[in-house]
Amino acid sequence: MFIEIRALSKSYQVGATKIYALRGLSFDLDEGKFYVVLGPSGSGKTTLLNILGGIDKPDLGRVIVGGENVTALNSKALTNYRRRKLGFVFQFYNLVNSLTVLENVLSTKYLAQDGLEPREVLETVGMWEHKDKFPFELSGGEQQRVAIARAVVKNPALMLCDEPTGALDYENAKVVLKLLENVNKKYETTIILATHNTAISRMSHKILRLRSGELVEYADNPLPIPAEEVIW
Amino acid sequence: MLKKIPLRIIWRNKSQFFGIILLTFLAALAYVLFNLLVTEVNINYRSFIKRTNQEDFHFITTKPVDIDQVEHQYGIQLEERRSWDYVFDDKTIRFFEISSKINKPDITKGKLPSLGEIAIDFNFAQANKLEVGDPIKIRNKHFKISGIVYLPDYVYAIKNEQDILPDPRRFGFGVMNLSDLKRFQLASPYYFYMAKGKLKDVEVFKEDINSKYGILTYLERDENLRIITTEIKMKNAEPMTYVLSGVILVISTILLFVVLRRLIASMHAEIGTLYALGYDGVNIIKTYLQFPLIIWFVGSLPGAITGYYLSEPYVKFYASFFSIPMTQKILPLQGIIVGILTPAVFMFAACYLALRDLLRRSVVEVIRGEAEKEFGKKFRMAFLDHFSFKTRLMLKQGLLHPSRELVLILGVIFSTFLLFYAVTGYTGFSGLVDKTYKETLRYNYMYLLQGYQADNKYFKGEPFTIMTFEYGKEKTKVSIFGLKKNSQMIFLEDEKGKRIEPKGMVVAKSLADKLDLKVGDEIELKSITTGKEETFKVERIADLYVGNNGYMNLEDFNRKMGLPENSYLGLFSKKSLPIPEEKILLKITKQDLIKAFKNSSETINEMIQIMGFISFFLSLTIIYVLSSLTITENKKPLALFKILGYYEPELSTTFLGFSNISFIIGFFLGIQVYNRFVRYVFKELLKNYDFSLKMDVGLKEGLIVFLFLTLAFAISKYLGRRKIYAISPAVILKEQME
Repeated sequence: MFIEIRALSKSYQVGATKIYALRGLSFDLDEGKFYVVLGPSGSGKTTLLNILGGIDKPDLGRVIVGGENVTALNSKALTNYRRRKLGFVFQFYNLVNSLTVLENVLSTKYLAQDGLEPREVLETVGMWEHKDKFPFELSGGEQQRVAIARAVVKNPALMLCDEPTGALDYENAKVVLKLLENVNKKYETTIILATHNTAISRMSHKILRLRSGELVEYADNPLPIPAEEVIW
Repeated sequence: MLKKIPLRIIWRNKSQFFGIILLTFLAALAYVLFNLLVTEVNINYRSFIKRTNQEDFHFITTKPVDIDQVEHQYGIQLEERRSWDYVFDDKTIRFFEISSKINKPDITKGKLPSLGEIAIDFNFAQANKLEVGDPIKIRNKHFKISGIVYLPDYVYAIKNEQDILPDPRRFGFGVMNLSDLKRFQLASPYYFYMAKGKLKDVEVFKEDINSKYGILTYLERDENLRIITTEIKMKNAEPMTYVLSGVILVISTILLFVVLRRLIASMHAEIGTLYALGYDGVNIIKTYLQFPLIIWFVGSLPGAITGYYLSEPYVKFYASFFSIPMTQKILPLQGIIVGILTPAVFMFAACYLALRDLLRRSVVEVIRGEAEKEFGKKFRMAFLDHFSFKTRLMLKQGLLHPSRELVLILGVIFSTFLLFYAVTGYTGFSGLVDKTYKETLRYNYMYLLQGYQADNKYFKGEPFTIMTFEYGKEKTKVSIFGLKKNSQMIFLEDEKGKRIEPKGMVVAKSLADKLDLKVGDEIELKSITTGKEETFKVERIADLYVGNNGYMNLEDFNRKMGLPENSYLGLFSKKSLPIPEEKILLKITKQDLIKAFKNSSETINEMIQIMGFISFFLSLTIIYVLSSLTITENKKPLALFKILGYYEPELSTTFLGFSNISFIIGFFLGIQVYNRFVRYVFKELLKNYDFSLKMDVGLKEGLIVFLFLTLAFAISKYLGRRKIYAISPAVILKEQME
């Protein structure tokens, strides 16, 4: 088992109100698969990804990734965990504005001991010819492709994608999905993609549906469709 | 509603704003404090000499002067003053009659004496534990101390004009009524007159008085050591205090300008949102101009007020170097206004300009922070591609923000300069005393005899001759010593520590620095005693930093000055010599010389130490404020890099690493600036002193300064690193989503 999650709970105190973001989630995920976490806004998708990514701590429960108990790690060990194992893709791309496309990719290549060649990755996402451009010179779709290249270049075991198509138009969103599918297949990277878009779940191996912090569906998809066939 | 925004932002980023506020506070405090020190002592001194009508000159005659006639003829004020030295035990009190026109006594405590009363000077009273109301017996007559008195012609209260130091335990002055004075001093062989007013031709006046009344002495106030010594000390401390406080204010102000401008620019998203909601430019400007207003209100204003109230002990401390009655507490409005308003003007301008720049753009551009586009276009910096990613990122951080790094470099230059000044000054001073008074001047006693002698009866004494000359328009006094061959009392050495045996004239480094003398130069000196002009050629420069002195071989000097071959005017000795008092003109011990040197240099020394202290905190604050600015501006990338797996120390070296380069650049430029300018500063500072300081930057001084600055730098960086640690990626991502 690559990922093992047990009794995971997280709440936030907002003023006088306590908001339960996650309520006792337990599930397992295999390595090299494409997972979609589905749910509306506020269902706990981002919180789950943040805990998996080691940038947030649960109140209760345990997260084991590749045999490593993420919830028991201290700050330095968590950084090391992210450095070695994870790639992130965000809804708003989060590229560093003062760095060029290539430099943004190099920023994670620098962290990887056995990463991929930046040129190969940028060519894979179709951005090599824009390598000297700055993020603000790119469209949203292009920026997200660079963000994917940045995550992939260190050849992570796990890629966490939080609403990667949320800020994109239909065409660009499909390009991004295709890239993620390719990454999953080509590099056997485990991908967990959080989205509110039900259609996207059809390309995953397994669907995890969250509602108000609870896991309400945990279903296999025996016949994932290719990204280009996803329609919404 | 909008009014709450600035306070909330300040509260949210309290440590950063605390740094900025602290800087404005320190700048205003330092400016007002230093300004007040100088102004208060100055104004009190000016007011003292004005209300007491300090003399312009005085003279002594053998016959009584017709005061009305002289006053009328020369358009001056004239007043006779009788005095009497009361000598008891080892002490002397010089009593003066109470003058009514010139050099009037100033009573700071008690009252002017009536019959049977005296007023006594502050320092003597303090040193001898005398207080107002105490009885005092003078030659079996009972008196009461009615008050504490200051006299404007005894500000530097030395007993004899050739004395080096005041000795308040043994010498003081006082005033009493003339009828009381006459009980002790029935008649005087000479007449002392104080004068106020400018003479058209001094020589004519002197000749006239001499022909009529037999003039014994004539002394201008500018040559009167009892007056001028204090004025010189004050004058010397003045430029340093003004320069110091002014530069602190300017550097802080530039820093505030840069920081506030960028701070406002970094709030583009909030400003853009307000803009989009329909608030107009005026509303936004009004809201965001609250930042400088608040910083000014809680920084500059309390800084100036604290400076004003803190000044009292500092003013007292500063004034204690001068014997001046501090009767007035001054409110230096001009200084306070400058100290308060300068940062305000720059802060408001910075914020206004930043807001104006933002509001000129479209709402979308403001929200997105499109200003960064220009950065990117201007600074692709392809040449950085040769470096590793981390180095490239670090270099970009600095090169993309030149103004920030420039302020840091300026701050480090200034701090380096000040610290070098403080450290080399301190080591210079301590080295000066050790080197000069232990290694070079090896005598313990110096006797000046009444007239030239031919035979030396005192075998333990080493004969020497001294003659005083004047140099140039400023009439700088230069003393030339004639020394015995292989003198055992004065060991002159060159820079390498090799002994110099005078052949021709050897000048002390202090004199060479003052008169810009080089080996081979010839100087024209006018003898004070004979009025004859003599030319001396500088053969060597001795590594001696005290005294406006030149040294020659005794025989050569006697020959040059036309003195008998074996004649001498004084004796150096290790032990006290049994010379009868009437044969001695002046006896100086080495301890007196050391005390005199320390006394004359103490204001400068104190200033130097205060500077070191200030420069440490200044560099600490500047580096901290700039590090905080860097972190605030890069909060999002920092959070992102944390998510990507960068360790905090890596982020610190990447994002704050360029400041190491700026720090090193600032440090080395600081040394250059110091080397270039310190000689000018010291020349100006020490122009009225007869010593110079070895202010070269040696390895030891360099290391000390570097360590001090590095400590300040490390503390600021540590505080900055803590801010990086505190950045929560989850919170930043959440903020972004919102």
